[in-house]
Amino acid sequence: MDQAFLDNSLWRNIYCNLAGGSTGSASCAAHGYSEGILPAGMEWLAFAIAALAIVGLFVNGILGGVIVLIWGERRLFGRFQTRTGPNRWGPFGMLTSVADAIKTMFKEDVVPKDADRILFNMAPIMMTAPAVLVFAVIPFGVGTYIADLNVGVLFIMAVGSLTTLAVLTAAWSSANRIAILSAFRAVALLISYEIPMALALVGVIMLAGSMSLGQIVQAQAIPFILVQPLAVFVFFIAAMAEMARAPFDLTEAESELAAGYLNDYASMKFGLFFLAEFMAEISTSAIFTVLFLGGWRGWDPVPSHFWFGAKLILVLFVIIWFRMTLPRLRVDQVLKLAWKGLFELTLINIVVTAVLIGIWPEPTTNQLWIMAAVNWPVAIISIWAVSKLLGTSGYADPLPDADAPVYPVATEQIPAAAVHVPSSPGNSQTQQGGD
Amino acid sequence: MTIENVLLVSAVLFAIGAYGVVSRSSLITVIMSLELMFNGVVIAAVAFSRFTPSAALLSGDPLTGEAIRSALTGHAFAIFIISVAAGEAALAFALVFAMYRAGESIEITDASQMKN
Amino acid sequence: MIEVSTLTTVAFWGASAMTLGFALIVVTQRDVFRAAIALAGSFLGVGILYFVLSAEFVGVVQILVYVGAISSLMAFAVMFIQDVKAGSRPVQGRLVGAAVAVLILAAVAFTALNTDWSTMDEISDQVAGALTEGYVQVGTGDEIRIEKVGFTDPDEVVVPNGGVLVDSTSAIGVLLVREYVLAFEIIGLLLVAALIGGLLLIRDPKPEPEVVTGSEKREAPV
Repeated sequence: MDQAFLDNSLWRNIYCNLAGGSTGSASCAAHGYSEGILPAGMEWLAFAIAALAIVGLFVNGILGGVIVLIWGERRLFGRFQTRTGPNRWGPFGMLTSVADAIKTMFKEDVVPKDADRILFNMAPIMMTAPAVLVFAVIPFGVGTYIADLNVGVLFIMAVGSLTTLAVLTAAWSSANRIAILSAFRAVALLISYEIPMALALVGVIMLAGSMSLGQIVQAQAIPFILVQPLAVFVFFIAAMAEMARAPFDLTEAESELAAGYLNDYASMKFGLFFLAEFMAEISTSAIFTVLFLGGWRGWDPVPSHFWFGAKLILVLFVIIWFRMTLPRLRVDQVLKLAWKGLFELTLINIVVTAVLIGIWPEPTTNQLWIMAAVNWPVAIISIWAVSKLLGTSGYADPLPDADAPVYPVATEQIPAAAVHVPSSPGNSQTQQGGD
Repeated sequence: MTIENVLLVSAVLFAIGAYGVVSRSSLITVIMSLELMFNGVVIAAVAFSRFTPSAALLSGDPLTGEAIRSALTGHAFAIFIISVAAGEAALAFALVFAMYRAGESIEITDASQMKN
Repeated sequence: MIEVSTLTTVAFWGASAMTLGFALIVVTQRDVFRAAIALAGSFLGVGILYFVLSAEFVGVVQILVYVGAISSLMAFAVMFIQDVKAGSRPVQGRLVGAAVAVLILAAVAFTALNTDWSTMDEISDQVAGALTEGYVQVGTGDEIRIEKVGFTDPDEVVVPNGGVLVDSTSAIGVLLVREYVLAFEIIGLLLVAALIGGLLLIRDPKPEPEVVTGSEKREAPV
């Protein structure tokens, strides 16, 4: 069996116990496993069982994580708004999302009359599949991953870009003009923020020397959040925009578009979209943890999965905090930020990191600290400069002078002929002739 | 998965694309079939790079990085074709938009001014 | 190993079936939006095929560019151009077109099946030994060294097992900036030209409306 497979401890445990010592130089026997349960010709069965077991473990774990996240987010919303949050079902309201799921499943499934049935039913699946697929490359601990692709980072970006198609399909198959309008805005948002997100990761790839997420974790002697502050800034903002979360939730601004492209989806199909959004949130936090916070690296007596989980929860908290604190941006502000602001920051980051890597091709820890010391001032100056460039010139100062009244006052006289003063019925007949 | 099988798949995809170019009447579907043909060709290029080693690898000389990289010519070819196809699809659709906005029909059967 | 190769064959035929199935839907479906989504499915199948052929970087680029960008472009085009709502009529010369396509297929298939491909089965012992062990042997005889991949010295590149370059990304990168640097730069220029050309083509030809500034007094409605 391939050395790469045997490094994966989940795989090794299941496969080698089933199939036993097999041929090849890096075999199960070398890792101390004796003969397995299955007879000799059935290694494919061991492969299939191991694969299904690991994938099932991951998918169920993610779904459980989503349930806990929904509860956690609603409780945090409550605390941010100085109220309690859900506390009815279960201790501290922990079973609220289970109750939500059951309620959603029992709702009536409405399909619009003009809708394209096949595409209408496929759209939630097209949205959920990429959200789950991203978890295939993320290492949750030492040797705990489904696959360690050599092009892992690019795989994440590629799979994340499949959501644009799902949004367009959902809108078009609803046969609803508001939905299509909302979908155009959503797709403009999504494709604008893919580029800064991908370019922000180029610095990390250069530092680690590989696109494989396992290699990136192992290359983080100090977490890359210290070495690549610009990349962190850009990636965080771009990732929140990709998830279409506040402050970028213009796609589902309830007061404007009434759930937008998801307008016509009822019951469990809407539940799938909802699920996809939360899975995207967990996957974004997991990617951020792996790429910038050092993944599962921690100190020894505590297992690596705990460190990963702790960092994941920290990033989730920051994302929920942002959602609760910042107001919604308009679509032109959002696009301006992506193209005029974040794009330039990523280019600056790439140039500076390339120069530093050119000086020290395989940086040791001390050289990483020096790179960090160089990158932070560059980051602060660039962000300040870009904020001056984006500016607030379009938005007038609300109170131009201190003497101006706070409430709107008319500065022009309306011509008397234009005013029709409704008075008592006796007068109105004489006044109407004068208009 | 021998090389003949992969080339067969590539040829079938190319033929389906060719049929689509000839038999569809809307310009957009013609462009879609063109993209299918592009993909068929790129599969063949990658298959060649996967299955046939270059002369430098076959010759038994000590391996250099260049010899090993010569096995990836098909991959580089694939990347170039994908980039060109992306640019070309964008321009083709820009043309279709311009035509549509100018009031022209986008059915290719209506483009018959030079007939007879 | 036996199970890896049967799984590779299963994956290959599955990906091929997906690709060709969706391609057939593209050329026969009347509703153009469905054809666009089927095209995206076909591109995804081709991407999976690249992964099966051990071309991971090309596969990821295919998914990123074709499925992520070009398919959305096609879906946008279909949504904007209202004429396609009536569907796409089949054209008169369909049968002749089908015959021509079958002829092309026959010609290529005949050539492919009758050529004697010198595949990886027949390469020299040194290369075979090096490639199946997972590391490359650089040098001959007593000076054999085992080299590891890294971006420090791209002249020593690891060729892992099975005779294919699994970690092809760094090698492709080096190829693009050494041997094929001219093509690389020209593609950059071509994409800039496509960008500018596309923007010019879709620019609104109507003249811009007059800008009304706030200082003009407006007539009150009477």
